[in-house]
Amino acid sequence: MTDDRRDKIRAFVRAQLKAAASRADFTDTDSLFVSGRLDSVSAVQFVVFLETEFGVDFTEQGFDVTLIDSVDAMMSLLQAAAAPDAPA
Amino acid sequence: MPMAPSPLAARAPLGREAATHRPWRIIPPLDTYPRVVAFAETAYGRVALVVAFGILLFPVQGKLVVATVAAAAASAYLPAYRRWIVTAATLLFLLHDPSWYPSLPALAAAKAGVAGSIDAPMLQRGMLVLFLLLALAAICGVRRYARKPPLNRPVRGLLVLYGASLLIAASGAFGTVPRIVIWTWVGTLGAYFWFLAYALNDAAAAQRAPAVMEVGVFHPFWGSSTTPIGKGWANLRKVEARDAHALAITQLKGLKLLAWSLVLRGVFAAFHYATRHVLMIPTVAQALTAQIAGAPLPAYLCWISLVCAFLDGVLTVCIWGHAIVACARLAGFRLLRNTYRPLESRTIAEFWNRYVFYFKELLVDFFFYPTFIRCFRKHQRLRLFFATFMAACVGNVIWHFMRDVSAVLELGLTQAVIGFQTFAFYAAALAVGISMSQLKPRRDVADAGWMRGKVLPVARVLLFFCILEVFDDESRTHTLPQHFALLFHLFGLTV
Repeated sequence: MTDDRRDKIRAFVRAQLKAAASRADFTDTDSLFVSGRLDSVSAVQFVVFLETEFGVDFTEQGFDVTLIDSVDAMMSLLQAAAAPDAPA
Repeated sequence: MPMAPSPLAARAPLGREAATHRPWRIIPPLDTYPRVVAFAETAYGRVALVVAFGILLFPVQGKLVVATVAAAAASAYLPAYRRWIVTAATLLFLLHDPSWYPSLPALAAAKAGVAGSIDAPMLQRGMLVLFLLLALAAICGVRRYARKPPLNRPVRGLLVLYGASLLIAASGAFGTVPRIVIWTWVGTLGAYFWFLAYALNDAAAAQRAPAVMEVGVFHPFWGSSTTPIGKGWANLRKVEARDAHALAITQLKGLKLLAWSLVLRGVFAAFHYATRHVLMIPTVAQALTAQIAGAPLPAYLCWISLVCAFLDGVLTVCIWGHAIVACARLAGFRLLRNTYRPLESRTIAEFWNRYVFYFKELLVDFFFYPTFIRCFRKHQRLRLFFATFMAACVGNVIWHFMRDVSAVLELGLTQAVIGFQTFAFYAAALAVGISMSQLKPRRDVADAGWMRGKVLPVARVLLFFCILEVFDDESRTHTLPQHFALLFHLFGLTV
């Protein structure tokens, strides 16, 4: 299940990097936004993707681009969202 | 933790193949030469780098150059104390020159006819100390009670505080001296508003600096406007060079950027001399004045003045931002450039992102994202449009109104607001342009060919921003219809 979600996120990251003409490969820990590889327009796409695909609700926890800055960060976000009692 | 590549690194040619086919550049890509990087990691290399940086920075900073370079070098080479060094250097620079922002007390005193009996610099200095203490208290308060209203939405609270302060200052309800003190408060709060906003936002971060360090990057020693270049500590932490190798590359990129800034200074001087003194091209303000006087300049001359104003603006922003980011890089922070090849932008949104990166980030962080995650979540296109409008129009207008708040003092609140109509239209048109370019689906450049994929999109973007120059008027004295008359004149129409 976790691998499935990770694969979906990786595929989405790959598509966004391609759309932004960023050809360099990425790892799960690579910074996507803080490093400047993707911009705020892409961040919007990620927000919508995480909302629709995984039901993440950013209104509850607030949004910061670091929450989606890497594949690992997005996986942590999903795990935190799955455990609602955990501290934000 | 692996170092994240910067966009510059991602685009820089690396490896043997790149080395043999390296394109010629005005500024050599020193950060990609292994021997240069290795030398920059040695003691002699560090001395050479710092001296070279100081020499290049001298035309920009004059006598302050030694202090700036010394602070940056200390921050870079003493990473264990980096945050304290940045804090101390920033506070020392502020002590030396606290009036980097317009002196409202001097203006208010002059307006009240008591300029001779008020020590405006001392008042501004005293207010700055009071403000920094209050800012510290606010940061601590938000950290402690982050979930309780109004501290759970600190930026909204700050905006209300600023608006209330401005209304009180403009009301004229108080006597001369209290009014001058309130204006001093308004000027100081406005100058530091976005620095404090980042610090309050950072208060929610899991890893955070001590509160006093947050204040240490309020107008940091490497420079800024009222827009924080480098944002707050939450961002600076992420872009610190973690080891000697990364630091050497970061500093060499900084040196390159500073050198490029100097080259652009030369280009700007030549451009300015050629357009103003040789070709005698009028400014947009002169074209507008002639239009209002009923003796419009030829349309072709108005077009040329718009293009010149646009290029003038781009060059000015590049020169200013590059020097600041270069200093931050010398200090060990891998900051992204404020301006990165804006004339290659293929969409309006891309231009906005490349032209004034940190200003755009400010609008995105404080207006776009908060709106996007809360409003119209079931209507994706409306959601994107509204969030973009809140950032590029509403946030943009608020930022500029705060920056130019002295107009309220000079003209009165009502006239200042009325005088803002042209800029408000500019911001609205910009917001619509950015929204449309965001809503348009992205197309692969390679599929579209050179002309349709690159030349035409770039030309469209540049044309949009050149035309928008008609409304980028900060004089506050000309009306919106007068600007529209100039716009119509450009297309041969008379109203």
